[in-house]
Amino acid sequence: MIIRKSMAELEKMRRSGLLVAQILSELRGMVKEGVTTYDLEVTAEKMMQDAGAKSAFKGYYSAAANAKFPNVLCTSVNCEIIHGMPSKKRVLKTGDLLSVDTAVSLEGYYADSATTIAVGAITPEDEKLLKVTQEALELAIEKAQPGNRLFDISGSVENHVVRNGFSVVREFVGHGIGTSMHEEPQVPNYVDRNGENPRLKPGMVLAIEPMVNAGSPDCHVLSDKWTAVTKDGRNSAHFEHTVAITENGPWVLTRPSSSRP
Amino acid sequence: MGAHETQFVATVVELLPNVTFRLELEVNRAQVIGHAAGAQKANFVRLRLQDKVLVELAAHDKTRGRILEVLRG
Repeated sequence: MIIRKSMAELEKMRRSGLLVAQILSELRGMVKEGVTTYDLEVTAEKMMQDAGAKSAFKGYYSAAANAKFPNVLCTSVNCEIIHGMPSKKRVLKTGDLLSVDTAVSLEGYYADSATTIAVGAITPEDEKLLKVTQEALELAIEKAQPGNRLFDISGSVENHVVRNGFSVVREFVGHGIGTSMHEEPQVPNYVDRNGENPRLKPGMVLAIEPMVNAGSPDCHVLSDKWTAVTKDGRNSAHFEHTVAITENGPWVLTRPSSSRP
Repeated sequence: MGAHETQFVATVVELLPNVTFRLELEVNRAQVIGHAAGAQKANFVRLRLQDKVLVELAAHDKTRGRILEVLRG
């Protein structure tokens, strides 16, 4: 069942959302050649502690991995799609595509956002991959209106990505978010005809996260049980926002410039 | 799916075993039994007495239904 939040609850999620946005923009400024993904982890953890927030990732239990996630960030470089582990050994170099994903909770209300950052100059194909993924997310956010259905969001992502010659990951999906990091409904980035397709109503909050592969959509999980990589070894991009549906349209909780509609 | 006359707003009046709930429909104060809809672990979402929910009644047994949404605030 889907939990519809009151305006007061949305305001609390907005506070978490602004913190996530602040962390991601700080990390964006730090990324350059020679920085390790562990450096980013340390900065993010410190910012969360200073703000009195709790990381939603650290200690998150996954039945598939049968383990708790040990970090506050997911850093996925190049062919890694999502859930990459920050590591002191992972030194960024020019041309890398780094996806940074993080979620926090303040007063028990969660917000989740991700962005993909180019390290220095990247190839034209990677640039197009980033642009298409970002556009797909924007199109999806536009569709987050009361009266539309969930698959209006999924379909707009899938359409835009496929039309540009890329592919969407099917194994991982977006999700509802609120007083826990993952709530119903699941938000696939493709139209899943066997899945539920609820009508969108004010008070629903969705974490929309297109994951786009340059090559085939196939992926597998590495032996660390978390990191998902593309099977063909080509690059992947990932953008995510937490979007609340209000009477007057979408409110992007993790984007500071998005005001309450 | 089709007309939405099978969906009603209801209030939780009793917590029953197996994550089911006795609900009272707002329209006619009829009591039905509801369970959480969806694949996720239903008991992760705790319903409390007096919570308002949106329930979809079964086509052939109007005393049972799936809880589609929890309405807060």
